[in-house]
Amino acid sequence: MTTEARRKERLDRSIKVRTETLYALTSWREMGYLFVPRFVLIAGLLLLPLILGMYWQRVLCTAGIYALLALGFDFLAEYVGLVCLGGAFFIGSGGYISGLLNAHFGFPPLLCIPIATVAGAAVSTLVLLPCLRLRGIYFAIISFMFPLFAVYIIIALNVFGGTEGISALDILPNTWVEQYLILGVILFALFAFRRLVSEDIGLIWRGIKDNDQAVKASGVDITAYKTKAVFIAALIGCFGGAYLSHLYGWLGISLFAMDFSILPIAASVMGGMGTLVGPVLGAFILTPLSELLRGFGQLRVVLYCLILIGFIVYKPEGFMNVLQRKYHQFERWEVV
Amino acid sequence: MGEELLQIENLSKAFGGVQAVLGVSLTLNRGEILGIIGPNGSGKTTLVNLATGFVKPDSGKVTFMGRDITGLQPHKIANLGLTRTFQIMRPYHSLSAFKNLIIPLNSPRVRRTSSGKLGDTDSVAIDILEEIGFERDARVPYKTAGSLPLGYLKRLELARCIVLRPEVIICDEIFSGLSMSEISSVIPLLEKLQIDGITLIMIEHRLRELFRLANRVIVLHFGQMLAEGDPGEVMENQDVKDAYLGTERSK
Amino acid sequence: MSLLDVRALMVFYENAIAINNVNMESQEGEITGVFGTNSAGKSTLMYTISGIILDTKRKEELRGGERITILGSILYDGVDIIAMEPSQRAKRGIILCPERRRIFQESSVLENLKIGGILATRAQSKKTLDYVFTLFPALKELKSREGGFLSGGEQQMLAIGRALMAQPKLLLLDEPLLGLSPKLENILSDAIEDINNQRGITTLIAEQYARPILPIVHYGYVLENGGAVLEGTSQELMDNPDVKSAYFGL
Repeated sequence: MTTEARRKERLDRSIKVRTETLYALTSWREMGYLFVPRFVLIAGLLLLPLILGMYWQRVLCTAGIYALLALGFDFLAEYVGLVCLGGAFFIGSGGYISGLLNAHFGFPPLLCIPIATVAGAAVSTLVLLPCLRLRGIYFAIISFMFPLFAVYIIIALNVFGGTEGISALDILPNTWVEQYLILGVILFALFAFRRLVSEDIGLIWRGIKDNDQAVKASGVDITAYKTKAVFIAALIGCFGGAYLSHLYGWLGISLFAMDFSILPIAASVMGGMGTLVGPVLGAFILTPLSELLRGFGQLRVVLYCLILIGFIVYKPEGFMNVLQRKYHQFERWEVV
Repeated sequence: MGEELLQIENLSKAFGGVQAVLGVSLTLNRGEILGIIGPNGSGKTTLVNLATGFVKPDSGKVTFMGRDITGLQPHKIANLGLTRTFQIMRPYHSLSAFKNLIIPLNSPRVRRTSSGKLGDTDSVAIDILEEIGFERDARVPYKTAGSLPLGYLKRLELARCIVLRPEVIICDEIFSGLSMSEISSVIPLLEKLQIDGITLIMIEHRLRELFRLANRVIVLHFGQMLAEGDPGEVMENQDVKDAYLGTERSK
Repeated sequence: MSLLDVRALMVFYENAIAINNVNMESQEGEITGVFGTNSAGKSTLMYTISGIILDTKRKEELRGGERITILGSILYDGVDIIAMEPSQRAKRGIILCPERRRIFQESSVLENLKIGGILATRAQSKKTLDYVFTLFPALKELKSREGGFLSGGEQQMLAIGRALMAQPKLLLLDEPLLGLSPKLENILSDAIEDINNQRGITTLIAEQYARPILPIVHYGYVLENGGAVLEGTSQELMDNPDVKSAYFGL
């Protein structure tokens, strides 16, 4: 065989292979390989509040909410096979329940938020339950519709404050609590999801995504597992909503805004679907970006869509996937 | 041969004007290997889907171990001990072979019968794979399912059912696509299953191999039962010959 | 005269070699067979000759998935088509009848056939349609039946008919006998032989269970792990003891 042909070969870096087993603990270099990226992420996030000015600290909080939604979206889409277009419903239900508890019963925010997180997730899951048995596309459509229904019901029946909403809710104690609460929840959620998908339940979810017939034939009730997944994703979404209502001390129909459904999707695609951390970072990039373009009002949604389309056409895998590949693998020319 | 495990009575199903299965009845006795053969489109896979809950019948009844299971959901039927393999297999490609078995290991049926802790599901899965011939030393159980040759994949699909410790496994064209040597790695496994007390239904096209194993054979044609009996009888049946067998090429 | 001349073909899926330095020819007017088990590389070979692999390669690049590398040359009618778009290859007469049929489920038999004839002139289409119905009388009865409701054998007949409608000069059949009953295997291999005799269409068949196909093939290649390990006339192959036991169950 004397062909002078060459091809580009992609191989795992040796350090990656070494660190896949217990040998990772044998040297600083190897532990560094594993820990440094994670450390940079955690430290970076935690240091941000200290270096930002007041205006941008508020943006950070909002970015955090979008990050939680993006994380939930990525988890459901890539690890369970459910495309959820209804992030706005989580925000709205969490926000309204928390705000109402505060307005009518006077509970302090730090009590309302946990209750609203769980109650909101329960409501969201119940509402989505009927379409879990159907094919994926119906879940997407129905999840998309529910925030709209909620808004129309609130306006039509003039409940929960109607079009004006309810203001003068208690806000969070101080700006440090605001920021570190959301950052803490994000970091906790990131690690929790990563742990969860590596457990047996994560395998079942991935099985449901790949081949649900085989999972059914293996004696596993897929509707029950899908319900659990939706509930968990709803938990962080509803937390975001509850948090939001006490960030500005106000609740209203804008808690069900389309932004909450769309931006997380753009953030996920841009950040890298399936990486969990990519969508979070994507949210932290897109949110300040959309702040800068505040002057364009509704046109911002057009921006999100353009970014989404751009990435889908040119780099569907998202930047985190590219970065991870560059970090773990290298390329070289090989003579065939 | 013993009790009747499975009774199918007068099962019918039409899809958009095409009658896939019409009035099919059969019984399955414990310990036997029942073969179901017939041309494409004769309703074999539909029959399996009807019996295991993947498709709801238009009429008829399915009884398993004395219990009416007609129209029950597939996972419930699997948990009762009636399992099936899939003809077009798509194992979870990126997962290693043994991880494919984690899912059935989490079913209620397995959790029920392993009183208390199942132990590390990973090692249980690897043990099961070793039993069916996935050489542990060659690290076969750890290879990604997508990289395994078809003979291993078919056995992996069987393993998915075996994990549930079923009473019955319905094998949907398990020999299809296999080479001679791969078939000879699957046949001993099926024989072992019969010895272990598992009753099998085999839907097949590879008649020579099927007749080595089957005690009894049913022939389906256009969704109806054409013939029934032991393999020799059925091969001699004129209707079966006309519809299905054709003649050997002489060239 | 060889219509198709594959030289030093190598195909990699990321770092896994799928086709390993394969050299083969398809003589004009003959039926050439490519035999082997599942992971031998038959389908990859068919995808590469028909050009579909370029489409897969592009999609994988975008997704950041496996990198597909194709090296070597494929001479068709003297022209190296290795980088030619599949649509161009189809226009030049390379028509693929894919593995597992891939007929249009929701279109009727007649519609499937008409879609196949989209590259042909009206006169050619009419003539070929008549030929397809004489070749497969069963399809004539099922003209308005939706593709999804056909049995496996009928779908295969339809797939071959659809390929014929595209006026092929090189007909690629990827596992045409997959999952068919013995009777249908005979019917279909008779039909394939007829196509070659009557219309003189050069045919390349990839098959696994070779027994019904071997008698009608002029020359054959046996693939194993991506490489061509054996070649010869159908008689030479039938006489070879390894081939007999491994593939033909004789």
